[in-house]
Amino acid sequence: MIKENNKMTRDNDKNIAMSDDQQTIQNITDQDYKYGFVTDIEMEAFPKGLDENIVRMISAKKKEPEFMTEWRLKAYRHWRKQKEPKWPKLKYSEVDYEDLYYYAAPKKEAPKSLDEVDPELLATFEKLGVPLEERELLAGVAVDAVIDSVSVATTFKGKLGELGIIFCPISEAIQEHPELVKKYLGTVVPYTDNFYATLNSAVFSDGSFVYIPPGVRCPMELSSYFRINASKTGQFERTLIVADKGSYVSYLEGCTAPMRDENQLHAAVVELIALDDAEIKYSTVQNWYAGNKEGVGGIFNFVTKRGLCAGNNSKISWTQVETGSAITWKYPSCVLKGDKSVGEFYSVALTNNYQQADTGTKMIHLGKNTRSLIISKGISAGKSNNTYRGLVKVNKKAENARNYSQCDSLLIGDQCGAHTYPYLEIENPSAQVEHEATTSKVSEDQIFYLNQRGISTEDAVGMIVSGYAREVFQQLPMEFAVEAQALMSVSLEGSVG
Amino acid sequence: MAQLTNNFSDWLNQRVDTESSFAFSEAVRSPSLSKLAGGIFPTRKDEEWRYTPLGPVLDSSPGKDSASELDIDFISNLKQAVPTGHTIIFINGDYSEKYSDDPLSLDDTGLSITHLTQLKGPALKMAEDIIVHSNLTDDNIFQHISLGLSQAGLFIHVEKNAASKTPIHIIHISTAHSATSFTNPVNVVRLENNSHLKIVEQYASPGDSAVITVPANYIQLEDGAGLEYYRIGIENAETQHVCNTSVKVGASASFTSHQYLLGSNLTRSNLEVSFSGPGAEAVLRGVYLGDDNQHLDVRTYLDHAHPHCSSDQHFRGILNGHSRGVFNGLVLVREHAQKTDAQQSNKNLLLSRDARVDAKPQLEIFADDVKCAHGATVGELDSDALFYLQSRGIDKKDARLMLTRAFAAEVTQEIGIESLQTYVKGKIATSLDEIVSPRV
Repeated sequence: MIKENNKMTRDNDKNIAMSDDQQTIQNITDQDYKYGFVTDIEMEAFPKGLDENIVRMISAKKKEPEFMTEWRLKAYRHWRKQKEPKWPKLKYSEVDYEDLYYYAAPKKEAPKSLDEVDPELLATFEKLGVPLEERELLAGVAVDAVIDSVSVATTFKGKLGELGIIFCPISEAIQEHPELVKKYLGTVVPYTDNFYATLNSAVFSDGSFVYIPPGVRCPMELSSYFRINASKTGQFERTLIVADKGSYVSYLEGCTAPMRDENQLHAAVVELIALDDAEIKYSTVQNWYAGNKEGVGGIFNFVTKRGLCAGNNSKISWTQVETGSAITWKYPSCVLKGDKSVGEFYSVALTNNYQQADTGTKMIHLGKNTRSLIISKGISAGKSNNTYRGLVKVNKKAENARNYSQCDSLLIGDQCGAHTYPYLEIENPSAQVEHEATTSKVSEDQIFYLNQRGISTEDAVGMIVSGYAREVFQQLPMEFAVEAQALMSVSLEGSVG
Repeated sequence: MAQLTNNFSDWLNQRVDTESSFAFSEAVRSPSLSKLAGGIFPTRKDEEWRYTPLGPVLDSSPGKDSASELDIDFISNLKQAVPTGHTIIFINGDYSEKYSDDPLSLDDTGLSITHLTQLKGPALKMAEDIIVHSNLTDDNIFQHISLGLSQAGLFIHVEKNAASKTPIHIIHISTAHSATSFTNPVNVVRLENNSHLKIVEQYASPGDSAVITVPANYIQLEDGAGLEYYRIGIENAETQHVCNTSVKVGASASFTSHQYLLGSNLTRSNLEVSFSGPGAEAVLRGVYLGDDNQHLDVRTYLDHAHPHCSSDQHFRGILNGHSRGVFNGLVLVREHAQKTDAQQSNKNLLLSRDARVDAKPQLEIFADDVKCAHGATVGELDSDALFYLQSRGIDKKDARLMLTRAFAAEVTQEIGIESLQTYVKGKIATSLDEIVSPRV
């Protein structure tokens, strides 16, 4: 199956797992679980709160070399001096940082079977067409051996290893490839960057590390989806992707199915580095628990994502579909340092009920002949607030920089808000920078037309929204795009009529 | 966030005791004075001031020169802008009877112009009510300078259904010899139902006088009223100018504003418009033209608080030398302000290597059935257009000049007073002649 189709996607994974014969399954279940620390966590929990000892303990637990421990401590000390930013257009109750577990919370009783899981959640899985065997995993059912996930990881590894690609948990990379980690970690998002990134630097639990050697085109879409689910490293995730000269990688993060998560605060950091002629494509679908219809609960998602086009002719492209979380604070950015480097940002952010999103991008033009493109589609429904906040900066020495930004908002209902805060800072006259934004609504005429063609109101809204966000969906790998469209409809349920 | 002590703040607070005959009553002044005593001026850390440093204002400690004799040609040149208008001239903040038109010559029924210091009883109350209900925020320290310390200004009042034929031409001239001169005039304008008026306000400072100007305008348009308001800044390169304009636009009323920032070292123009009834309209236009080390900052705040209102903003910047232009515009569409039509456009032309533009066109929308759009561009002259003109035998310098003038003319051609349009176009052309040179 893999040979037939290089694009490794979730649907394909499912097929592989199912089509493999009993023997393979047996082999896999007999293997030791690769990410051994998972079982360790379950047995001991660190106390609540954060101090230098906790940071040292996390580092020791992960058997990190000295430089990492020092780096984490520096971050921790810096974090103590920082204040939580107040500028986003977000309202939420204060997070008590002393009342959190920074390594692993004691495990709560997991549901024993799908019968014990919230029926509403199961109904959503049904609508999204999530394969049966994945539902248990996503709902957090205690399954002893998660066969498909492990099998996929193993299949991946062999194939990637042949090409010299490193794709492993960052904790493993710190031990096995310390020279690479030391060279690149914190070079794009320094530990002093911002409140959440600094916190992450001090306490990050795990995440992914990808290194693509020079001239290699990664033959499959790398995905963090399975591993993250299995090991619950989501809270303070740290991802580092390095594409060496002339290489290409496409990386997928997250999944369309709603994930239950006991951690309310998420502060992830993602760093991308593209050297000469390299290209990184990073796609995210985020659908974490958004709280209930009254706005109670839900994940606070404070993410720092930044890519550095370090080399000439390099390219970094961010695509995001953000539908989950009670609060989203996220600005995937590109620093266009290399000459002729390209940065792209495609985003669909959907908020419903009481969700709040303050998201956008930064395009920093430093090199000559650099180009950037921003396509942002905000959709607000219910009583939600959706904000685009973006910066386009052209430095004095960035000759012939070119930027085009389009930031559209779609409002559904008269209780929601859609806001656009673009910042254009231009210091070079040869720059050509354009920003456009419009606001529109799903009109009664459009719905009436589709109704009259026999399409229900709910489907009609889904269809209109899909059309509106098409430019972004086109950027997603195909199977992901199909799911993302289904996700839009589900997320908008009940917002019309 | 606070800059607690500075020369300017100390100087302002001394003024409370050393000066007399302030424009407003104690009730209006005292809250502002206590704000001033706090001396909290915004810094670059304040979002609304992130691109504009106030150093040149805050480090100064002005004095006051008495009104001096002025070159009559200088005055008549300024009057050229609106020869048909009724001219009122202030020199260093004081009304100049000598140069102004005779108040008795103004023959417009329903229009009355009173000096703020002469306002008493119900008329003073009327003017102060407009100020109290203005939409300038309490943390706007510069409006407190105006309210707490202003000693001069006008109350312009048009009765209902009166359509004034004569544009009011207000000219503020600042001169100084020994120390920096300081003025903070306040104008209060009230247009009753269905009345109409045109106001042209001009700021000038001859020679190389160092000047600080902190003016404020409080404008109230009642239902169906129409105001055309023009503001021309042609001050010298030693001038710091920070102004606030607050406008309330009633149901079906129409407000048109043009701003031309062609001079000064630092100008910060804050224009806040709010609709107080349905069906109202606001048209905001402006050009900022900077050279050398000028810093020109336009801020607009448009509050769509009622349904069926429309707003249309169009601002253009031309920046040369080391100058810096800032456009910071916000359109707020409140809940229930359905059928709003809000358009905002900001275009900037960079003519030199060291010029800089920061644009922040913002939308905050809380209603769904609205048409809102904004656009912003920054770039240099279109090379194809230049090439086309050159291929027609026009030399590069002239071609550049032509295109740059045309860029500004898209805004200036909308000026509704013919003489003023000619005047502004002329001023822009003169400045461009000096600054547009072929790039090597």
